[in-house]
Amino acid sequence: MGQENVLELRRVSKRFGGQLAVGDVSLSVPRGAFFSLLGPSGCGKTTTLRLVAGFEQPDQGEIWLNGSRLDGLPPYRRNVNTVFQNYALFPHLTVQGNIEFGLRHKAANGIADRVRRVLDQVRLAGKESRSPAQLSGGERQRVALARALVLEPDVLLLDEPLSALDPQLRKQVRAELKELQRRVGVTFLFVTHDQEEALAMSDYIAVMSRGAVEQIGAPEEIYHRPATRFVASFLGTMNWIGGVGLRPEALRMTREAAVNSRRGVVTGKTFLGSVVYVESQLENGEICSAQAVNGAANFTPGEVVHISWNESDELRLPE
Amino acid sequence: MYALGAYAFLHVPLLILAIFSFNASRFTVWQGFSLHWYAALAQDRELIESAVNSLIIALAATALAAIIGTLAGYALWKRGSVWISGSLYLSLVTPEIITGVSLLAFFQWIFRYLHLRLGMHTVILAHAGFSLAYVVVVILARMRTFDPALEEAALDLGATEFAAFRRVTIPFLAPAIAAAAMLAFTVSIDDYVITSLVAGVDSQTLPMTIYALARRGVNPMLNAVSTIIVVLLGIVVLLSERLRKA
Repeated sequence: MGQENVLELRRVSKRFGGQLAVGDVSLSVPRGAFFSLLGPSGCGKTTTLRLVAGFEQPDQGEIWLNGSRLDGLPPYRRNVNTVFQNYALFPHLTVQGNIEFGLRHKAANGIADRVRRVLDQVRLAGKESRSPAQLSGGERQRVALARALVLEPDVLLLDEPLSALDPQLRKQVRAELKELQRRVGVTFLFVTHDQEEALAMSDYIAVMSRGAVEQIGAPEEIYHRPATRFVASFLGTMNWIGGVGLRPEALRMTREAAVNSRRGVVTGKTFLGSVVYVESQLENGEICSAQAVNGAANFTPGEVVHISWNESDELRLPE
Repeated sequence: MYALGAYAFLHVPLLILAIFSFNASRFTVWQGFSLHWYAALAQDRELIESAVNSLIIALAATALAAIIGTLAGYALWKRGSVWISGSLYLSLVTPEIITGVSLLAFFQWIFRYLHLRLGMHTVILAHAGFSLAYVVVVILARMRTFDPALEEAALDLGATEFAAFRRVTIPFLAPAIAAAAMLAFTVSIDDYVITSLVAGVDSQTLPMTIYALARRGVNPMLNAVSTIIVVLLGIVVLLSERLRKA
């Protein structure tokens, strides 16, 4: 596994009827990486994915896959495959038929062997003759994965593949998917609006907003050293006190005044099991949320608190 | 209660017709069960010939309408046009007599340039024309429940546009195509008004023969032939309803 880039977008733009969907986006996806496009709905992440898949053509810019130009080619001439948001399994075909579909169109050899191998990989052996309607949500998602993986794409494109699952299952599938990616070694380009999902699974995250990439980096880097206010606010909770950004875990709450502390009044609490978030209103009207270990301090609403932090935890970001 | 009344109003005449088709007498007085009129039917050259004509016309028109209508419905779904879909509904509500007269005028105009005459082919074209709208409406309704991602998935997995249409969209549409074809068949086989206007001397259809016979007076053979038609069409309609819901 080399460290070169398998996929590159160079200054790609796409408009829909004058509306900018993707503006001047450049990305480099290293081979074998789990690369996420993260952003709120309408930020251009899905359009970016569809540009790589070939369902849309860019107005400007170039897309390169394995050193050759990809843009301009129809979807069926690109060695990338997609796992669709609602899986888009063919309802008239069985699990086997769905997985064979691509192999038949590529006139591949050893279809039966390859189908069997991929069925084992996604733990669907024995379900070959089921129809998609007879499968659970998790199984359907694995058929969609198998159908794409069996073609050994250079990049697997995943469009919010976990959003159709119920929350209970989502966390489990998250770990399975990450494990599968590592085992198979396929490059993932993963679109999600769920920051927790992106942080948990990705090697790299590109945070997008309004058609543009705000920041690209490893999850820790993006969380701890956000490049813009948007990135800081979109990933996790961010307090803005006196113009500087502070994570809830950077704030200390005490009953007595400390050096450089700010006085506030507790307004509410959010209990999250192992930790508690305590919301307070400062004297200048700013609201902040501080993380406290559960049981360590029993602050009650209406109580006066003093909030302090280390200067090194302050994030100074341009508006 | 009202529904029951309406239902009776619709179907009692058909029931009476069916009962009297088995009557031994030629009058509307029950004189015992007999298959006499069905036997007479089998002997009547004119009725049989026109029934065969009707079948040929209905099958050919259905095939034409099903193919063109499926492609048209698909195209309309891909790139909708208010004008085209509007004109489709217009053709559904246009009085038959107007459709017939306009088709006749159209054929006469064509015949000035091509040396053809009215005949089976004009009836087939006319039937394909007026059943096309039914097919498109059924196909369009089915396409509205189609997830466009299915076609994209086929392209993504290496199928060309044509292969995606053939291997994903057509199987999805299959029950609707069958239902639409049966609908086209039923409107074709019993059409009288348009057919009588555009038919030539060699293309007497079953409804035309029945109409001519009925005008000559009471003939229980008509009860028999009508019963057969109702039963056959009933089966077709039931099948198409079942397919449409599949």
